[in-house]
Amino acid sequence: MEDYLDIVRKVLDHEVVDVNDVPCGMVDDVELEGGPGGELKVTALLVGVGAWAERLPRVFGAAAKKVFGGQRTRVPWGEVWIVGERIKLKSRASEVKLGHADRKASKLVEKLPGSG
Amino acid sequence: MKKPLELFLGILTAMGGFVEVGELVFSVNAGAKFRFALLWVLALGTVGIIAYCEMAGRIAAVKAQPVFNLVRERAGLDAGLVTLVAATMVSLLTCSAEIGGIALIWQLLSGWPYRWLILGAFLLLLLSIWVLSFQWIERVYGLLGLLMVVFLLTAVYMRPDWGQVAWGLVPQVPALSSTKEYFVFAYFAVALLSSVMLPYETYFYASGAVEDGWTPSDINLNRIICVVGMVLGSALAAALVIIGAQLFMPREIEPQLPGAAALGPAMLFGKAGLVAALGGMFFAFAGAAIENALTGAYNLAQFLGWPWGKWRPARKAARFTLSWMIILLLSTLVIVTGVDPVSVVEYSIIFAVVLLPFTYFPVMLIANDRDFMGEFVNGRLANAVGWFYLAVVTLAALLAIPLLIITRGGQG
Amino acid sequence: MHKRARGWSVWLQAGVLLSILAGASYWLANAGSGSLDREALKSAVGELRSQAAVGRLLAEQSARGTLTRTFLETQVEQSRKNIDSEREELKSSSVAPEVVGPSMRASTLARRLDDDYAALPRSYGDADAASALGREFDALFKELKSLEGGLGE
Repeated sequence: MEDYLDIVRKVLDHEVVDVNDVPCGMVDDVELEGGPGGELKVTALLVGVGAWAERLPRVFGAAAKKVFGGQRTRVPWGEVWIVGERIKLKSRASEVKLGHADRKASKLVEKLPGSG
Repeated sequence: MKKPLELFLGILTAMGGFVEVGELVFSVNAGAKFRFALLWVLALGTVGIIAYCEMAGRIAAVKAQPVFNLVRERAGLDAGLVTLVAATMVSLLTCSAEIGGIALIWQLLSGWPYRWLILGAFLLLLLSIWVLSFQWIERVYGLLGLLMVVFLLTAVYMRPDWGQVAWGLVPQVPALSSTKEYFVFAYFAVALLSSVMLPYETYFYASGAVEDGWTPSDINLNRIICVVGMVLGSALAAALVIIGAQLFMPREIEPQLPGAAALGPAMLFGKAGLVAALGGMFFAFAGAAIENALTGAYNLAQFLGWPWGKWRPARKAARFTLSWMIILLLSTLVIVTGVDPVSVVEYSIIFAVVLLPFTYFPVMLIANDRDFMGEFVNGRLANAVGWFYLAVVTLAALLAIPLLIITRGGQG
Repeated sequence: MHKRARGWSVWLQAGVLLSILAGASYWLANAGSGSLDREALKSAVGELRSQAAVGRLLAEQSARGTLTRTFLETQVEQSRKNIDSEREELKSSSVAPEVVGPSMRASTLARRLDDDYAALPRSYGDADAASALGREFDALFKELKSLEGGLGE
């Protein structure tokens, strides 16, 4: 176990997978607690348009949120199991309120014959 | 034994899938305008695409991650997003061009009305992706694309001066009659390079490696497929240049339509040659259309963290599935407006080349990262070749749009 | 985030944007006033010349029986569409004074070319008729070629 974690290179913008290795988003932002000079703690992962839109230049971020909505899910750092190639969580996507959009979309796809 | 069969199929599929509508149009025209003087660009592009597909395939085999996952990590959110938007638009445009090409070919075979054939093409492509597994899509369209071999036979039977052909492989700029002509030559060089190194090929190859479940033990397989398959594919493209040079140049024809290329096989092999040529073109274009629709979906899903892949049941990768369907639909809508398909082809090629450096740079960075790739990191050769081509495509990207405008789309 | 990647891609994006702007301004600066000048006429005649050569090739192949009827008819239809768009260009815009004569000649030749194309499908299966058409296309080709040459550089 390394004694430090490079959040920017190893966590941010990496894929998030749930306990079954199903992709459920990207680490769009990271929530930190604490301030300058004191102890800094990572408290959560932030997943969703609302999170990455904030990191863009203002105009584009606002446009993105308008088109895609400002959805943002907070995944507490305690849910993170493995920080590897992908950020693997301890639970299933639905249990941490991720993968919602795909579940909605699958209701549409299910209607087609042979959708497995 | 599974591996030799997989190798054999992989090579044939890479060969049959090498040519698409843009490459066909530009190769034949390159031969018609400049004889063999652009063959070196074909060769240059072929080595480049081999290098980058090998790297992308190696990354996918070692990390089970395709390109776009890693673009975001490496190039950052902003640059990654720009690349995503650009790549999606280029894939859409390319898909439109291929669908237009399919409709033109079908029209030459059946005489049915163009617009209905566009809809027919859309339905066929939609069904193909929906019903067939990834492996079967590759097999059907890749292997049947080998009908294009009739062009290879045609080029050989036309008995070009093989010494002159070989000389064409040496980088050169021929003596031309005016400054305008030099610009047109440069335009064709950029376009031909782009058509061989189209970005979707790298993305699709890497995603395909994950679809096929490649592991580090498949790295040598990857290398052989890349090299042999693409060299054979480029032979097909070279055959088109030769046909342009031998058939069209002496008659002072500048073929505007993809169907004109079939006149070569027709001349030598009669109706059988004609039909084989048109059939091969159909499968090649259809394969490319499918690959572009899937690539668009792969890129979106990988950048945004959606479940993706044809190996997943469609309802488990719902947004991915809807993405490729919507891309196919939008591509069809673009071409059904009646816009000149050859113009769409041209723009798709030129905008693709502008995208190339953005595509290749993250791949280079990742393949080069020892911490990430471990023992499978780039060796000195891969590095040297990779950086060289990054410089080449950057130059091409900067020149592409000015050349398009100055030469008014190659008209001079 | 990779700092090196970041800096590099910003420069590249700037470079691409700049080249687009450069190209666009060149285009705007040189955009024709909508009139048919010498260059545009030469390009149109060149296109017609190429189509005449294609017609010649099609007639040749039709005479030898290497084409299917459908292929011939469709190629003819697609070629005539191209010829039509060139004819539109020759007619519609205002013509620069020094090329009025050649542009009228080009229009005449274009009309004859279109007529010959229309006759191609009818000659399918008749080797003599197809060969005769081939000779007509050849004559048109030669005339268009000399017209193109006369428009100079």
